[in-house]
Amino acid sequence: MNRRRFFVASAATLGVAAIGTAAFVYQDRYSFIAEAVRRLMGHDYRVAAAQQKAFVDDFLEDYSDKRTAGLITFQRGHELGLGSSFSAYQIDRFERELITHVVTHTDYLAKAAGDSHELSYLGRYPCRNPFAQFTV
Amino acid sequence: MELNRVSAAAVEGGHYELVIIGSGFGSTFFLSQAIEKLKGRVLVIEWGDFHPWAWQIQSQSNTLITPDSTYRNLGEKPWNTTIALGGGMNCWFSQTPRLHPSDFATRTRYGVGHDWPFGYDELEPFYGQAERIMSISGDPDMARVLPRSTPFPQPPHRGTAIDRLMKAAMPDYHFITPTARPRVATEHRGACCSNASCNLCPVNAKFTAENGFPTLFGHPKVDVVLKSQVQRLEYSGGQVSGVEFVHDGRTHHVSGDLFVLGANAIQSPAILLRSGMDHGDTGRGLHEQVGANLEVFLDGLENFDGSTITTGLNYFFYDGDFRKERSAALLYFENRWPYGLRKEPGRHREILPMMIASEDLPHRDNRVTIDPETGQAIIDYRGESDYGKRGVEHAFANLDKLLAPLPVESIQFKEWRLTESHVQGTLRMGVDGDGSVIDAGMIHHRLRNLVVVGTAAFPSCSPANPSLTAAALSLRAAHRLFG
Repeated sequence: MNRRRFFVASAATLGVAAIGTAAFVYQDRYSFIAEAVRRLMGHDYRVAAAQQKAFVDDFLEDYSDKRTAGLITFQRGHELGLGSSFSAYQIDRFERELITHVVTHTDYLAKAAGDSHELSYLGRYPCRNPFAQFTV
Repeated sequence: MELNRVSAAAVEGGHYELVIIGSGFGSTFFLSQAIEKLKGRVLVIEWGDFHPWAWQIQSQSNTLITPDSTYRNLGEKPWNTTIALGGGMNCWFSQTPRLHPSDFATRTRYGVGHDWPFGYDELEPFYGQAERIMSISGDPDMARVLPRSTPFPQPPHRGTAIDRLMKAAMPDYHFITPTARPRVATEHRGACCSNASCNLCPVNAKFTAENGFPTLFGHPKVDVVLKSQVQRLEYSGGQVSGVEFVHDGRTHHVSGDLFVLGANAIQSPAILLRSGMDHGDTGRGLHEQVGANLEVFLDGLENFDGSTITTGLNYFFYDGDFRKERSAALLYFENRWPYGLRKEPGRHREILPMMIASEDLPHRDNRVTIDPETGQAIIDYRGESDYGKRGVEHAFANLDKLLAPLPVESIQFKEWRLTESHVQGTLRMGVDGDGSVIDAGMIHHRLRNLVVVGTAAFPSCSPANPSLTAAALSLRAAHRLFG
């Protein structure tokens, strides 16, 4: 098996099944996050399995495992047409946090300009503002 | 950091020329000036421990003492303090705007709040001195609003693309934020790297007691006793004679000639109240700024290319006759993303997070009391004023006009901020008999060898961050006492 996996594909290797088309059944947080990253980033970015697990573990710790579990419920509700403005707001907050993590905790910025879709996870405490400039 | 740490037992029954309670901005800046003038010895009594920068980074914490363990809060609003050597210098985000000249005279000019017993011009030289000590980086154009007699010690930070547009359009109102996050490295501090985690600065850039006064607490005249909570002052005949404090469950006493009370604006009044001293509005008028978070989505303009966490301050809604009806508001242009980047691919940075801070009107019913049984501080805060909220609401309602130079797509009110982590106003300055507790020299009206320092002394709120002013006030108080 190729040691590099798609964000979304790796969910299966983590013991998760994505079932159906309109309504994913997010059996754990790993598959939920992997699917969200794939959907939001617009590319099938690939990350080594160990790095991806570390990314998700750290994200869950930063964002809160419990909040993420709640988000899964909200997301499922929306996909079943049961969303509210509150749940939509919470989903938006989550997705922005997740995108921010991908952009700032991987080498996405370096890779985005090129053709490579293979990302490396930079760890839990990368530079918090990779856009900052210091020359006058 | 050099530290003459002594045990509580070693100082038991001792006598000092100067006894300082607490070690935050107010106490430390006072000591920095007093030390060379004193002939005798100084004792600093600090409730918390000394936590070096490296410890704080490793443990991702400023102290082991949580704020809510130091008081009983009857309300829901949190009041953040850092109990440790250096106090708020450990956790602060290092924003250092001066107060506006009108902030010192809100009663005279606008009929609200309390006047300070002196004006901006009186404090101005000490603002400059505090800025030199802290190597403040600032925008010289700011003198258009906040007059200054000396230049900022460091050049301004690099603003964002947004700041450049706003400065060009509003040169009299929009400035690069003054800050104790250095633009260039100093002998003991790195340059700010815009890491947006200032409470635990990863490069030791922001000013702290440890990197800013590396030898002060190790001075041959200074003893420091840590993990010791002052219970009460002993006094008679209008003079404080001693201090009772508890260390490891045991009570100790020291005596002195001059005393400085600089615990914080919660614990300082609690110490006075436990001592049976409730002159004036002791403990009353607890307040801080009223704040709100906003987000502005932009069309085609990218943010976050500045060189520090907050790059722009806008004074357009700060001062004018409107302060008779609504509060001054100061707008912070952020070089960080508290709610994350934008989701749209390719547009992640087309966003401007902002914060509006406005002044509250201190109210007597917002107060610190003490538990009659235990002596613990109790916070009885009934809420901010409608006056304070109106300034925020007006600024938000008119933000589209202010931001006309930018390609604004939408503006969203995100939330009222729970706290600015400032604690002010419980032992305010004034004229004896007007409800104030201390005079223009920061000396207690009844206890004439007791100097009260820190933000507890503030008669009015101001939208501006208070730490620079607390430092300048202490430099001035020490200058008046010692020359």
